[in-house]
Amino acid sequence: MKFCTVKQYFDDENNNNVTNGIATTVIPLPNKHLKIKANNKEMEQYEQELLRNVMPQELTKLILAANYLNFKEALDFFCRTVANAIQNKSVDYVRKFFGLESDFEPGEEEKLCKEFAWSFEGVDED
Amino acid sequence: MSDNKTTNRIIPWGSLPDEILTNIFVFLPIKSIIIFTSVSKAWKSLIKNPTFISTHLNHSLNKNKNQNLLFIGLCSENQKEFYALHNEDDADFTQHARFDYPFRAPPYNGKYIVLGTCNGLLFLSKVFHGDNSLCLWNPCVGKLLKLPSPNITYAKHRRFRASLGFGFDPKTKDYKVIRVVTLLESFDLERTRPQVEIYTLSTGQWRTITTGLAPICALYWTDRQTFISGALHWVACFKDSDNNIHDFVLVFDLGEEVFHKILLPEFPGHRGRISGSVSVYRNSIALFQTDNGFLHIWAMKEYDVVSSWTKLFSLPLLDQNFFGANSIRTALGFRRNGEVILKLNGGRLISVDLETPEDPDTREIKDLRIMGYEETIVDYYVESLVLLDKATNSEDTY
Repeated sequence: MKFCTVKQYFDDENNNNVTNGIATTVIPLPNKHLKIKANNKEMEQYEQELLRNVMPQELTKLILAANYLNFKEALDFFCRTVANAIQNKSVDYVRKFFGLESDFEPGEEEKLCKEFAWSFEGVDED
Repeated sequence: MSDNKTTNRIIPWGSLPDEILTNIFVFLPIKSIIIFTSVSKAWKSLIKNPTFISTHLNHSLNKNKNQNLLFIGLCSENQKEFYALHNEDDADFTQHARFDYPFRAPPYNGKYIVLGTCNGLLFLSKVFHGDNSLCLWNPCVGKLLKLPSPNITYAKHRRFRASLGFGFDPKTKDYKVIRVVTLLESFDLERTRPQVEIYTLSTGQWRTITTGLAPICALYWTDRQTFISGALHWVACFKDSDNNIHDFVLVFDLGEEVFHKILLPEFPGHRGRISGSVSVYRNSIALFQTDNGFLHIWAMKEYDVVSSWTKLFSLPLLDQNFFGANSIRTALGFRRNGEVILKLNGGRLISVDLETPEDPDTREIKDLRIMGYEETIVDYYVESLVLLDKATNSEDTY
């Protein structure tokens, strides 16, 4: 583990937003990851728990923390969790999830949808 | 989570840096990635971008998630071509996706066949009035690009025979299509050198090779390409000074754009000629050779090392009961795990483990439960977004 980076992260004034919660989640992750690496089912459950207990905002912070700490495994894990949460979902669902608004011109979005009309089939119900 | 700590700056998802969004997107199925180009302008320009497409491809090629796909060209009961992607690592070899023949036009002017795949792109060819019509198609993103007419045409050069190939050049990060053309009008095996022209995706144009010319030889016709180790491979023959004809493997390095020869293995009764074809085998090539009612399979254990040619197995072509009540029709290629894929008479596809025990009775044969047809080909496949960022010219297609 990169201990000096961790210390620097906490000392850095710009990261006042870091709560203890994040440090406790990110740092024990490698151990948990190694322990349950063999068992994919447990991994999925852990992922589900993480999603339920951790509000989207916190998940963002976890991701940014993992990125800052250069902690590839944790970063991949969190990103994959987000990907699993949004895969096969509709555009509206994803916009709500990320708090985004459409910034397309009126005709533009329709054009895009038409171009890839076939890929919109089989998308999960919102 | 303690929520009495004030987090006075709530970080909105939207301002996540691009590299983190990229890291999330690469874990998504292709369909979702495409749909999400409609989420916002920022997402659209991030996704429809050569950098992201390349990152996504590398992720697809390297992920150790058990999803190695095999591409298989098939035909439905009502004579319609279609293509299926099957999961190689799945015990039931389940179908992952399926795509229909991409052209609406009826087959009166010939139909396209798939010659091979590379990085998620399919290479299609049609022969019409002696000329080649070529396309690159990514079925996962629904983009089809028709290539411009090559330089060597029937109108200008009269009869010819063209061998084709397609692949990715990591040096220039570009896709290239090669045409090795033997002009037939005044063909002389001792003097005629094939003409070579190359199309590059980045320029959108054909150019004829003037240096690094092909050796004097003639290529055998093949309807399937062999692209491995950055090079294309065809079986060809030349005539030596004693007037004997020898077969060999002609190799074209896509990056260097030069040819070289790989000699075939020596085997008893071998008088220079074989009746066979090459195939990709693991990270090297293999040779399918028919002789005396047997299909001999040779593997080049160490790529480009002639002494490493090893005979893996000889399969009986005349055994009526090889599998069920069927005999072997032809070998189609290999799975990533080294098993050979065979098509039986009747069309059934099976895979055979050639590498473990010597005893032929204990070799493992797996019924892939797929019915092939005359033009079935198999090839490794990886899903990608290549061509997503290109405007394409699919006029008479879906």
